[in-house]
Amino acid sequence: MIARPILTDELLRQLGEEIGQCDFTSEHQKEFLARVDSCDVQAAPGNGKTTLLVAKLALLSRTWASRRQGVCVISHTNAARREVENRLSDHSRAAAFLSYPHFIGTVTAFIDQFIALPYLRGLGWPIRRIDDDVFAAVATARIQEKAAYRAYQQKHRLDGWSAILEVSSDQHWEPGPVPDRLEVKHRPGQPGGHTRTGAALEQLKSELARDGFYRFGDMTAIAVQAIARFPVIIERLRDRFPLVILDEAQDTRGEQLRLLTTLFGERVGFQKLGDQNQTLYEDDEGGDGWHPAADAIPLNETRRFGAEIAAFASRLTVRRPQEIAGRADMPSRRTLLLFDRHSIARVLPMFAEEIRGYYPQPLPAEHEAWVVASRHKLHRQPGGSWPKSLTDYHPEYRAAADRGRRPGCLCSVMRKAALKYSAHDDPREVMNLVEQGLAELMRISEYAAAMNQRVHAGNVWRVLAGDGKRTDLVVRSMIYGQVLQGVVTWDQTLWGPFVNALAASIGIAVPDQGALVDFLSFNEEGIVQPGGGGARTSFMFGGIQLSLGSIHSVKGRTVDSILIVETEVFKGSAANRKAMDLAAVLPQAFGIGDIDLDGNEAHLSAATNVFVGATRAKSLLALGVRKEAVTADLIERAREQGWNVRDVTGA
Amino acid sequence: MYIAEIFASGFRCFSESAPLSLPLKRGLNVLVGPNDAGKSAAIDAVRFTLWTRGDDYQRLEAGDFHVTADGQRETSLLIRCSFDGLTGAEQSRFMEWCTNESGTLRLHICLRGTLRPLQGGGFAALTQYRAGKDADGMPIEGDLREYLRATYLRPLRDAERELRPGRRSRLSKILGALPGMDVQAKPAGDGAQPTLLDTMRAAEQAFEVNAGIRAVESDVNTKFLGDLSFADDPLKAKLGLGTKGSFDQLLERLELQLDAPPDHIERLNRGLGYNNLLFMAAELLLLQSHSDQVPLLLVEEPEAHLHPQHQTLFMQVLEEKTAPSGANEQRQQVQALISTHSPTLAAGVQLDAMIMMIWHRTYSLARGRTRLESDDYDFLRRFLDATKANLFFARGLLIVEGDAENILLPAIARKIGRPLSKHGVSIVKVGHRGLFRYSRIMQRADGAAMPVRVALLPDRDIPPDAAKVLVLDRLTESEWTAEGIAAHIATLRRDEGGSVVAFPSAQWTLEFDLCRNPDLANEVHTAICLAKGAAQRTRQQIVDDANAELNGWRALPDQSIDSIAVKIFEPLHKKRVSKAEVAEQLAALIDGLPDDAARFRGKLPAYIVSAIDHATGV
Repeated sequence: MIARPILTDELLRQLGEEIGQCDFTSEHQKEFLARVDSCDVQAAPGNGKTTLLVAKLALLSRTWASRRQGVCVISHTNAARREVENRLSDHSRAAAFLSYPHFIGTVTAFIDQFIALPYLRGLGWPIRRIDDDVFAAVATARIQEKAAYRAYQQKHRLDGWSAILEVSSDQHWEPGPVPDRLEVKHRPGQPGGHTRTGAALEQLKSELARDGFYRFGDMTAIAVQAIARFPVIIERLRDRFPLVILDEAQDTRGEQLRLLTTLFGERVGFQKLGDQNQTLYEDDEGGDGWHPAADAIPLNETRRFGAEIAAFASRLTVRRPQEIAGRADMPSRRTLLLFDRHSIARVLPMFAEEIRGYYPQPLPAEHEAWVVASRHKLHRQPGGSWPKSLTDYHPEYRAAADRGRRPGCLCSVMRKAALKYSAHDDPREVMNLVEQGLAELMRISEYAAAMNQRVHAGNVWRVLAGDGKRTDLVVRSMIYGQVLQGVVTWDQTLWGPFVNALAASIGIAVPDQGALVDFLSFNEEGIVQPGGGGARTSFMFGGIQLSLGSIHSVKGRTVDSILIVETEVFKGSAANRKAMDLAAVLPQAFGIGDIDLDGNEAHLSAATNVFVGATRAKSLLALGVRKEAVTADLIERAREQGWNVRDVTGA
Repeated sequence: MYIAEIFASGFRCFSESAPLSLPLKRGLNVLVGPNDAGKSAAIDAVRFTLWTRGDDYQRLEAGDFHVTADGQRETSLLIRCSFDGLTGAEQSRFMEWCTNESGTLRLHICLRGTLRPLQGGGFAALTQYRAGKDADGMPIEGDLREYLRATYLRPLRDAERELRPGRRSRLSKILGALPGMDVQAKPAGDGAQPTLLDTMRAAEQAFEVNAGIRAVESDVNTKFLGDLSFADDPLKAKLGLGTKGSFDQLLERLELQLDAPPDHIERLNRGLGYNNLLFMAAELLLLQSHSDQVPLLLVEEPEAHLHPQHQTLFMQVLEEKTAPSGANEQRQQVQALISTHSPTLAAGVQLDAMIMMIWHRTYSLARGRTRLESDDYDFLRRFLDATKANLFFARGLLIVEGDAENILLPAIARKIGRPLSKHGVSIVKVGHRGLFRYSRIMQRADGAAMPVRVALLPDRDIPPDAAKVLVLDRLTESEWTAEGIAAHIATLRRDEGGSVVAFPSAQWTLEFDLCRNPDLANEVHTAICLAKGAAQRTRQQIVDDANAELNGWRALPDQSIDSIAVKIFEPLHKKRVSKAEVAEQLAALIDGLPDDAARFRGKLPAYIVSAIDHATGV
């Protein structure tokens, strides 16, 4: 049983003070603070759940005596992990939760660290890179060398399957060399292992495993295999972590969620915090998500926005109906912008005008104003619904470049490091990239390290120093001067001499052709300018800076003003798999009619998107919707509810 | 790179609520302060975190954790040395340990200690060494760990032992690391001068063929070892210099000593102090010539075993070595952190290199941090000598203009029950100039009060009308306007602030004010007469004469307190008698008075009592 202090008013006051002028006196907050058994928490947007989580750890830190057992805090993104860590480090006692025996990290880090990597090492299989982009690049290059590839008709489909090959979890591996074929997860349309093509895919997966390349998803499958073979792992993890808190629970799904449930479903306190209404799926391979229990602790109060936005958002809580309580002291402006094909370009300038009219000028530098849409990238399908994406509203918008074809080559890795360095990112992460690049270079060139040690990112410098000539320092200073501070990764004329000098310093002979030449060659993809990366996401409209992006890109953020523009939600060509997002959900959001949004995949997705977008704003919420898609009745309702309606078609 | 800040919390005397936050400059930094101020703790904080060269590895112990005011021992501590000014080479070499603070790479080296109670009593101190401001970066190991090691000269180091030959001797390490030595470690090329290695090998060979050596060897082998060996594993002894192995072994056989006069053969043991100097010289040589380590020097109390003049010399050398290197010089600028409680050393240092430590708090005297103005630094550089440097170590200060105060105030303070020595109060005599320049040392730019109570005793310097005959054309009391006097007093008090308070004399000077005092006039007059002396008179006769003379003056018609005081004061003013000598005599007379503390307090001018009370902390 986990010891915990009795929650008195005095203790709550102290906690509130330690965490920084917070108030933890609501009944549901107290309930979550007090509980150490399994429970679900359904938290409304902006309700301060991270603060509450930190307060809980601060509370436990008063009585946590064990040095062998800890609290495991699992989040979905590194951003959420960092936020928890930063908040904890400010608290003198709770800072203990940052280190052993506790764990704070992402779900992938947890699975890797505690289950998958120990299992792989036990098998004696090498681990080189766990990275979807790198895997895809290597896999698509290798499949094209296979005889089965030449024989197969739909080559682009085969490329696609190869790029995302993941091992299936119901296999049984023994220590020793990697088998010649590894069973892979079946994707729609993918030939099975009994066919010639399917066999080639399984061989490819095995080859890549032999070289140490994996996808993130492989780690989950391997972990599932590991605990199926050695169920004792489950008991050990339960012994180690009597309390497990899963943050951002709505983003953990499918195999990962099942794995966590298997691990912590019994005997330990497994607490899941999240907002089911913010379940955004990045892609279609979702799998089952989190469904909070009926008796989940509701955290209904938001600290982000006022009652009017809260009321609007509450009607979009389709996945799990929730009445969000807004703040009494936060008025807001809400505006409907109506447009047609001729006036679509005026939507964003009009939004900027709304901002200028609503806030005192000049705007403070930290004012954040966003324009978001369900779809935001350039699209190719002609005809059909309109508008399709954010680019229809502002053609200059370009999302950050899609993954390149050669993410693993030295030039790409070094360029990424240079970008991070010029962005003043953590130097440790910069050097991690450099080390990975060098390790790869030394492996491909079969660099003979002293005592035959295998070169990996962790020992690159030690290996280089091993020649007694301080080669490590020479290489470091080349990379520091020419890559990080210089421009060799952006300039083809400089890159060649640089890699030649680098290879010469390390003692690598570069042949005329082969894998090493490919690896060392210049990567022309995505070159605009240093630091630019090819993305254009921020624009000025009449002196107001607007950031443009997908709804996904504002997830987890608080912004001052937001405009959601209508686009298509496209899950497939079937009628119930596509919809115009605002047109579909606005009647419901303004309280006209009672459509079952939950019954239609596209509608459900649209409601979630608009919900996530609308709950980001502190005080200005605008919706850009086609004039033809709204009825007079809807406009009437909107006005009654205090919305401004601005028609840009005639302006 | 150099340490820009030392931070320590929960370590020794530095609590979590009042941590050590010690900003350092490039070059020389001198920690001055009384005992138990935290000087050694500050230096140890660096030693524990960066480690030192030589083999004096120190383990964190339970006693190194802070004990709070209510007697509880803290269970965690954090020490952080923050480096700034990394060169390009250092940035590229240690990038992954750095933090990027808006474009500037800084290196924070942290030691986090945790105290864990053991079952059955006692504690285990666990340590973690990590980079990053909150000790959240990479572990400190490998290349960086070696690079960080500081050079540490501890107080009363047994220098002689360090310089003697022997296995793993410090000297062998120093020699081995010097740049010129790699050539000596290899055999010389054809025709070149023999290297050290060649010389040693030749000697070794000469030993081997020496008849005496061979006889002993063969004796040992045949008579003893042969019988003690197993048949298949014969033991064989070899007598020699034992330098056949590595160059290190050769170096271990060298020793550094001060050159004996030419005709001496016996080893000459010089004083401990000289050996200390010798050792410091060797370490400095290494520190400066070696680019593969942070040029950081820690010295605790170098004054030990050095006489004052040598201390001054030592400081000069150090100031030179820690100055920025010239354009054509091939040396690194050494950063030095030195602790001392020697006034001689303190007086020899540039003021802005000093950091005062009082009650576990640091007060840097660097420009901009005190209320000293730029020309004050130049002035104090010239005039702040060893006789005044005790101000850096005092708990309270009386800053006075002349000898009279310097000699009298201790006697007066003793008599009123507040002996200065007992309260750690020093008197600083600064002459007529610069009273405030000294007191400004104790005033912070940010207005914070330093825990050193400073009483300034300037002369009001307005003679009474009765003294017109003495001062002639100087303005006397009634010739001043009221505004003029107010403005004058305001000038004397203008630099008050923080813990500095001015106590101007009541009228003219301290001596004159005492002459005006009916209860003390007799003692002052007697002291003046004693100082003047009189031929053929005994001490008692002089005392009696003085009494009679004073009573005679008092009996004259139309006398005021001022006019009698002027008569008493005249020989002093006209310099017919030494002020210092009068003060000596008066101090003796005061000591001899039968008054108790309360009664004597009543006799004194109020400002003197207030000044002493202020400085002694009432």
